[in-house]
Amino acid sequence: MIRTLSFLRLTLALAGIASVAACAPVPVHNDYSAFRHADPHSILVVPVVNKSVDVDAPDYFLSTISRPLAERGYYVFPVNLTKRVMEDDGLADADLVHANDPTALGKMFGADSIMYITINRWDAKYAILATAVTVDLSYALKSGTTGETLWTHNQTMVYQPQAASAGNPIATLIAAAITAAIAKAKPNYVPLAQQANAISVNKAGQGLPAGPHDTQYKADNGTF
Amino acid sequence: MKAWRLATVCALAALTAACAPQSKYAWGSYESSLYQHYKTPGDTTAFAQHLSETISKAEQSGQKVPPGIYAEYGEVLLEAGDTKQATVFFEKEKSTWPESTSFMSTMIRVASGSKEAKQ
Repeated sequence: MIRTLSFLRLTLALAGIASVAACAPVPVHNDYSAFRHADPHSILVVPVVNKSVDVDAPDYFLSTISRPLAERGYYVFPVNLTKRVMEDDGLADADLVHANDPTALGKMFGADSIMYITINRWDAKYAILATAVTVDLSYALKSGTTGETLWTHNQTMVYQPQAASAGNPIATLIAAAITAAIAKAKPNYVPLAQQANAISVNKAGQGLPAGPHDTQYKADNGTF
Repeated sequence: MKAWRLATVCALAALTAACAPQSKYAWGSYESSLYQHYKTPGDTTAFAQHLSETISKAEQSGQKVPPGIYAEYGEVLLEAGDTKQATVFFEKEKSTWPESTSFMSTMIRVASGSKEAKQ
């Protein structure tokens, strides 16, 4: 009887541990099987869809995206030349381009993959006590040969002057770049966009695996 | 004040370094000049000059010119009507980055083909 009881207790304890383990936060890890299979070497960034109220946002954003992708090890098609060529070919409308077949673009440019980016938010909310500048971006990388989605990510960056004094070095640095601009009621979104891009591309388990021009190429399976 | 700022920059560099070891390419003023170009669209001359400087500085220092920069410069030259020089830079992009071969072949055709096609 006593033995049965202690056995029961042990079982319960083990079950308890198992359930706790299941609840413990497991680092989110993307499924990279489609990405690894497609093995893209080049990325074509197409016109950015703008859901914000700032009409300049897509152009300004475009100046921030080449560097993080190229530094990750990919060939990034020249964004300004791409934009011009697409405008000449009647592909200036970002919404239309995003709705179209990726393989057509893949063929047109000889691109392994196409990066579709949507600006969800690019705004500043002014209030006496809680001014906040927000940049919210969605990324989707699709194969230029099959059209299959290889990678998606969403990133929101919020800058609040009050939070900056908390000693967070990144917030402090962004603060330095933005504070002066805020005073003129014309915030500089670029540092926030750069930060969003850097996190989206590099974050372990969620970003892009290293590309062919990086030393970690095909050696980072543990992280991605 | 200065020390504090330096410390911040170092902290950020360390944080960023954890993700991306170091810069592979010499970006020069590419990002800021593209931003300025979109801010004042008419000013192609300044954009062209910045691209040209970014390329020559990188080449002189022996650092790699980032992907796309030769082609961006080629496009600005093409717009200015200098099809010969435009072709030179499209060729440079093509030989530096084999990934661009198909696209650059198209651009070279556009540049050498006919000025009328562009206008």
